[in-house]
Amino acid sequence: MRIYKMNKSAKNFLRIVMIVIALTVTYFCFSYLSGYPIIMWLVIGLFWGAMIVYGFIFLPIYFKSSRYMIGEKEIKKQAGMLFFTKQYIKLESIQYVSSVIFPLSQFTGLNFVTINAFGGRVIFMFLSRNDALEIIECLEDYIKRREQQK
Amino acid sequence: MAEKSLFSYLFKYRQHPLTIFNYITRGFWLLLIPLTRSLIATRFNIAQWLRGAWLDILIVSLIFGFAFLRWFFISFHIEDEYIQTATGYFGLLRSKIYYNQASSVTCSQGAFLRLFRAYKINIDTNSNARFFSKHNVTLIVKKSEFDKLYSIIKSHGQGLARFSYQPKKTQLFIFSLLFSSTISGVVLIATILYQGARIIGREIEQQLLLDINKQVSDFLTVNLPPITVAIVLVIVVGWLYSFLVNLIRHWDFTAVRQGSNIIIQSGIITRRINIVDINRINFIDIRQSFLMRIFKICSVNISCAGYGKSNRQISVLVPITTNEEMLMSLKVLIPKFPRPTLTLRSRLSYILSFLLTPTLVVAAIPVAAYVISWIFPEWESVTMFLMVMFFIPGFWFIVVKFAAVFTTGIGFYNGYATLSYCRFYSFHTVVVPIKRICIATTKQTVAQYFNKQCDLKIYTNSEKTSYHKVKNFPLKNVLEEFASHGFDLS
Repeated sequence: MRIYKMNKSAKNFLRIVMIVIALTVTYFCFSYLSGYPIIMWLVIGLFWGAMIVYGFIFLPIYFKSSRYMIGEKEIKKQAGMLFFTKQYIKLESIQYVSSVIFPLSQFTGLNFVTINAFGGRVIFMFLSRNDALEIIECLEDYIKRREQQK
Repeated sequence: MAEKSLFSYLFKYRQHPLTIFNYITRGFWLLLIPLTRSLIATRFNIAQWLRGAWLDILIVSLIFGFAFLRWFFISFHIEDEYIQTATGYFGLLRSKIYYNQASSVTCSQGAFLRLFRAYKINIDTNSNARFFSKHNVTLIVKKSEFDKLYSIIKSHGQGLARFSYQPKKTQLFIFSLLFSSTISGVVLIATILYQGARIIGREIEQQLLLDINKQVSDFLTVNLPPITVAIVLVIVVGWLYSFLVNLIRHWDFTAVRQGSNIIIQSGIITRRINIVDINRINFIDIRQSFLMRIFKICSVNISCAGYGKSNRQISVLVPITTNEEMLMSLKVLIPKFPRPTLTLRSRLSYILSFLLTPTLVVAAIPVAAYVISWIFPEWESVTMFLMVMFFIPGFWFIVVKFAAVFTTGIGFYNGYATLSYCRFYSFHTVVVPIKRICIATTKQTVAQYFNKQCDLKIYTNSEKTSYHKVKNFPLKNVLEEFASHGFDLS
């Protein structure tokens, strides 16, 4: 069974995005809410608090606990931050595979693979580009072989 | 002779000519009003009319021309084993659907189509129609073609025993009463009121509401704010509309099984015939409200590609019946499906996880009412009225969730899984062939992680994403049950 993990560069990229959002909000708060200091500090505090909690507590837990497994007959996904989920999908249920690979995704880790079954879907998120391509190739190869056997 | 061959070339293998009007955009008829008015204004002087309104006439002709071309390029051939269609632009998209691959065939004839002896046919297969939100094939055909297709599909079960189920009229009445969607009716009535206010003016509408309010107040001998009357009126009329639509749709409901086909017929104004392949039913869903559960009555729905897909249609197999009769009806109509069997049940000690959300929701109602009254003191009487209105369903929600503790469970029997759960106010008992479960998920909150409990989310084969969430089971037992049926969730 092949095991894939989330790409660490995606974690860092998400942290940078969060910091940029918090800085932008801080700038706009100082520009437009300086007349209402209580509200201004409340909004700034909320955004920075959320950034710290998500970026430095939940995100590491999420990245550490998440893994994707592809076996000979099944696919498993394990992920969680506040809720821990385990998903099981039989390979024979898969209808097609779709993917989103962003430009420069080898640095940002923004590679997503969606596995579509007849009635549901499983998304593999924040993979490294090589892992994403390998998963797509592996699953498409399986679907091709299955159709040929029919 | 030449005329006959031209007629044959034009109309044979093509849809009913009425389809051309179906392909014209809805707003098309509005364009005809100024055109007709200008024609009358010129006292039917065609030359003058053409000079004055040539652009409008050109646009109308183009719209009509495109609709004609679309009709012209779409063709179909009904053969003994399959139906072949050429659809899309210039009829380039050619499809051949074998009848034994079709999961459902729906034939309907509304009042307008009946005038022209035309029928609408929808054919659906188990192909994932994610990108084609509608049916795989939709055709409006002549009576002769409908008869041909219907007799071919029906002939697949010919010679085999027929089993039929027909509910009583009172049962259909109760079914429509219980399953009328207030929301859809309310949306319609609210839209009518809003658009009505724009057309007749807000003052007249306000006067009308005040008059109704006075009548209601006189009748009930209480003084109600006009906004309260408006809300109640919209809800009552909306529900009544939905009830009538439901009753008309399901009147004269009959389900007949012959071989592997179930032929379901219903409706007065629009007569519908649905032919469903039993082998392609994804799951059956036995639905009950809390009161239905107390009185031991239920309604059975089925999930099968295409059936119940049309607007406001319910994919019902047995509209309403007692629990005992339901089991007998299912044995007759879908004998392969076993009776629901639960092997693992939720426990009374998990009651908190069932009641936490509804209790919080109900507790939030007076808080929200207090805050709104504090911000808008002039709305206090309306806010208090709404608080009481929300309290009733809120309290009912707690009662329903309390009952859910005793009804929630899962079971595996003879290649089928039973999932019994409560979603909002509705109790569901789903029987699904294990081979039609596509994704199984366990979910744990932090508290469940330490208590070694889990929730289950089971995705089943369906045209749209369809899952069944069953709450609170011991993780160890769930893993064992699923592992013994080929799902390694560990």
